[in-house]
Amino acid sequence: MLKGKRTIWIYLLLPLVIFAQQSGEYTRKSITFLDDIVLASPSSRDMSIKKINYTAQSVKRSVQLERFDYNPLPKGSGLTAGFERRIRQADQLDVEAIADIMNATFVADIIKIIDENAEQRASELVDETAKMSFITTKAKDLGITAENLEQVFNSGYIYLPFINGYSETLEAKENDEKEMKYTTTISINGGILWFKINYDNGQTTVVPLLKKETSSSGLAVKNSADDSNWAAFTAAANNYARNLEVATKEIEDFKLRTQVVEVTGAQIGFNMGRKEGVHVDDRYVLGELVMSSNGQLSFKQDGFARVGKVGDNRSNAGELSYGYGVIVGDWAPGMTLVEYPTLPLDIYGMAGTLPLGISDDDADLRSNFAIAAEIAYNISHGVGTPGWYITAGAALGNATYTDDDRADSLDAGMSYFDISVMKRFQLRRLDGYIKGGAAYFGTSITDPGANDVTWTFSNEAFGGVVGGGLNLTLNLDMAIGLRYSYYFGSSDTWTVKNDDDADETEYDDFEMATDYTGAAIMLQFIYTPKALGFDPLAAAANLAN
Amino acid sequence: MSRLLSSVLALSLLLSCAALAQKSNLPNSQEAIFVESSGPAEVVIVATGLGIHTPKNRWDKPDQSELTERAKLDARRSAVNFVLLGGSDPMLTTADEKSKFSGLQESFFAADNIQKYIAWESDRFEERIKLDDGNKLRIKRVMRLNTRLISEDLVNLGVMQAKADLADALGLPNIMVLPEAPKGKNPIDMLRNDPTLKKGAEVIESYLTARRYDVLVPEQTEGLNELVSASQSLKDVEEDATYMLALSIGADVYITYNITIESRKVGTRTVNKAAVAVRAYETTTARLLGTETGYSSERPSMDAMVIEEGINDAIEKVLARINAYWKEDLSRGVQYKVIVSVSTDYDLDDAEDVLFELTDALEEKSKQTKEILLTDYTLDYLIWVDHEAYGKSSDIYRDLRKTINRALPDGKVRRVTMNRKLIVLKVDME
Repeated sequence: MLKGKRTIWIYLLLPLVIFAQQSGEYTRKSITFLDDIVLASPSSRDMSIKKINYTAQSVKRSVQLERFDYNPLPKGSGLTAGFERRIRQADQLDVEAIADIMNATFVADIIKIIDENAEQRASELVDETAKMSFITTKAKDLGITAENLEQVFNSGYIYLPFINGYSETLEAKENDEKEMKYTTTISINGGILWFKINYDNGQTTVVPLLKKETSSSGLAVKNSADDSNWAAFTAAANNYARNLEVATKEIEDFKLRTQVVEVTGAQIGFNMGRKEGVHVDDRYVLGELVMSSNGQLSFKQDGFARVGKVGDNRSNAGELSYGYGVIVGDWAPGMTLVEYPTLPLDIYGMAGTLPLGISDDDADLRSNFAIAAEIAYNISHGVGTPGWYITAGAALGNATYTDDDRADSLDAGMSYFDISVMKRFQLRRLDGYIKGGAAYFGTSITDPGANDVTWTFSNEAFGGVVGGGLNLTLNLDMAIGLRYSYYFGSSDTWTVKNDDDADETEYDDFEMATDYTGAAIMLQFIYTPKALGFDPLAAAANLAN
Repeated sequence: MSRLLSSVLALSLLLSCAALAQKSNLPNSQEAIFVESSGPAEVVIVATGLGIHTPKNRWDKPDQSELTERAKLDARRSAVNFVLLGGSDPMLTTADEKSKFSGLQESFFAADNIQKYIAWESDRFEERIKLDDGNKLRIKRVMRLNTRLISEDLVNLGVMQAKADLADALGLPNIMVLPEAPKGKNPIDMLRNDPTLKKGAEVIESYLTARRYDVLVPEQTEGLNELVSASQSLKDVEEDATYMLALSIGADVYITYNITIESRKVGTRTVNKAAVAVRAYETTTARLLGTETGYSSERPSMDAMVIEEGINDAIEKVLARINAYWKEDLSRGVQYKVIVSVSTDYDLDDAEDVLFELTDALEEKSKQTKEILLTDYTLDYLIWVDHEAYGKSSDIYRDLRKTINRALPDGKVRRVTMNRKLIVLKVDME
C-alpha cells in the first residue's frame, strides 16, 4: 500500500506515445505487478487496508490475462518495501519519478526473471519463415536470434493501480417490518498506470507508457452497516477491476492482432487461440492497409467478426481459431484482425407492451405501455459455443383498471423481472434468438378512494417466460431489434393497504385473479459497453435483501 | 476517313495489346529478395506479388479473393523469375540461354508449371497493401524454391546445358577449398589446427559435393618448391601457397575463405554472429572470379551453426559466379596453363628458337591463347584447346614434346608437373 504521509500527486498529463500499429502480429509481453495500489488523493487514503488489498487483488485477477507472461517479484524479497519507502520519501511524485524509483529498486530483478525465461519466450517469437530456414530444419536449433532475445527483454511492462477518488455514504432506515436497513453507496475513481522497461546492452530504463482511468460504484442494502459497506465496496471494486481489464486490452501494445489465414464465406480462420486468451464471442475488427495516391498508408476497417471456435494452440501451435462474420466485408486471407475489447455483456433497452389481464368478467385490467432494460452476460466462453447468455431483465409499465361499478378508470403500475438463458444465432448482421427463464410479476392498482385516503391493491406472481427475437447489428457495439416474449403466470393474492393505515391486509383467493399470461412485443436497442459505472447484477443481488 | 480508320486500327491494336498483357503469364511485379540458401537445392525468397483488377466500368469492383489469388500467383512467378533472371547471380547467364528461354517463358510461367517449384510458402504475408483505389493488391510472401527442379526443367527444355553434359564435355570445374592464409602461413596447417576453419571447409565442401562438383583436398605442400623452381613466373607468387597448391593439384578453381565470429552478451547469454568472406579464383591466373561475404544472424547458438549460416549466405552467390565463368570459359575451349623452361645451358638463340617454335605450335593447335610471360628461357602461356582434339593434358604434352624435339634434337624434355590444368616442362641439354 502506497500510503505516504506526504501528498502523492499523480500528474495526469502522461506522454501518451503509442504507436498505432494496426497491422502486424501481437507478440507476447511480460508483466510485473506489485501487490500495491497508489492512493493518490486524500479521500482514497481513508480506505481501510482490507479494502486496499481487496482492490489490488481484484485488479491483479482482471489484468492477469493469458496474453501476458508474468515476471513475479519474489515474495519477501523486500523489493516492494524498498519501493514503498522510496515513494514515501519522495517530496513530490509524478509518474516519471515513480518510473525512476522502479528502475532503481526492482527492475534489475525483473530483468533477472526475464533472463531465466528468455529462451523459452524467445522461441515463441521465432516466425514461420525462420522455422523453415537452415538453422531449424538442418541444424535443429531453436532458431532464436539476438533480436528475439532483445525483444523479450524489451517486452517487460509494470503496472501500478491507483485510486484518486473514494467516497462512501451510509443511510440507515427502518423498514415496514421494523427492521433497520443500511444502504451503502461507494464510489471509486482510479485507474492503472503502465510503465515499460527498456533494455539496451544491459542497461535498463523504465518509462511511463500510459494511464487508463475508470470509475465505479457499488450499492448494497443489508441488515448491518458493516455488511452493507463491504457488499457495496466489493461490488464497486470488482466492477472497477473489470473496467480496467477492458481498458488494458485496449492498449495498442496489448491488443491481440494477427492475419486472417482462411476465409470461407463469412467464416474466417486465424492463428491465435487459447494461448493468447481468445474467448468465444470476442469481437475482432477486420481491415487492411491501404495506400493512397500520395503514398500515405492507412488502416481501413472492413467489418467485424466474433469468435466461434477457439483453437487450442497451446498443445498444437498450428490449430486455428475460427470466427463468424457479423458485418462482413470483402474479406480475403492476409487481412488483419484486431481485437475490439468490450465487457462480456450486452445491455438492452426496450419499449413496447406487456401482457396483463384479470379474471373478473366485470372488470378489465389492461397494459398500456412499458419500458424495460436487460443485461445479458455472455457465458459462451464457459459453454464453448457462441451465442449463450444469462440475462436479467426488468420492465416497468403502466396499465388501466376499469370495472362496471366505476365510472372512472384507475391507474396501475407493472413491474416484471426475469432471469433467463438466451441463445443467439448470428447470421451476418442478423441474429435471431430464443430464451426462456423464470419471471416475477408485480402489479399495483392505485385507488384515490374517498376521504383523501388512497388505497393500493398489489398483486405478485412467479411464472416463466419464453421468447425470441430478431436483431440487426448496426456496428461493432450496437444493434436494434424486435422481441416477442410469452409470459405465463397468475395470482389471486392481493395485498391491500391505504396511506392512512400502515397495516396491510392480505387477501388470498381473491375473486379477481391477475393473469400475466400472454405475449409481449418490444422494440429493443442493444449496446455492448467497454465499461460500466456499476455492475447491475451485483447491485440487484445487493438490493434483493 | 483514312485518319479515322487508322485511329480505329491503332485503338484496336492497343486494346489487343492490353488484352494480351492481361493474360500474360509473366510476373507483374518482378520484385524479390534473396533470403538464404536453405540447402544445396533450395533457396528462400521473399517475393512481391501484384494482383491487378482492370475495371470494365466505374462500378466494376474487384473480387478480393480473386485479387489475392492473383497476387499470390504473381509472387510465385516473381520468385521463380528472380531465380532465373534476377539478382546478381541468376540461373540463366548467357545470351543464348536467355534467348532460348524468352521463347517459352509464357508456358514456363503458367500457373500449373510454376507451382511445382514452390517447395513451401508461408501462410502469412510479410506485407499486404491495397493500391490504386483497391484495384491492385501488393503482397510480400516468403517462399522456398526448389532450384534443382527448375534447373532440371530448363535443361530438359533445352534452355540450359545439363551439368552432366558439361561434365561429359569437360567435367565440372575441379574446386579446391582452403582457408585464406596470410603470407608465410601454410593453409593446410591452419586447416588442421583451427576447428573453426575446418568447419568452414566442411560446409563449403558439402555444398560443392551436393552440387556434384569435384572437390580437391590438398594433403601436403611438398613438391611445390620444384614447381616454383621450374618457372620464373611462379617465383613471383611463391608466397601464395594456396594458389600454388591449386596449381599443383590441378584445380580449375580454388576457393578461399575467412571466418570472423563476434560475440556479445544479451542478458546472461552469449550471442554469436559469423561473417564469412568467400572468394573464388581461376587457378591458372589467380584471377578473382567472385567474392561474397555472408553473415549469420546473431544467435545464442554454437559457433558451427553460425558459421554454416554465414557460409550458406555467401556460397550460393559465389558458386553462381563460378558457373557463369565456367560456362563462358568452356565456350573458348579447355584451358591449360603451359609453362616451359629451357635450360640455360643452351645459348640464347637456341632457346629462343625452341620457344618460338613452341609459341607457333601453341597458336596453331589452340582455339585461343594468352601469353602470360615470355623470357629468354621461359614461356608461360594460357591456351584453350578443343576438348575433342585434346581430351587429356597428356595429348598436349605429346604434341609439345614433338615440337621441342624437332626444334632442339639434343634437348631432353622433362615433365615437372602435369595435371588437368597445368603442364610444366623443363628442357635440359642431353
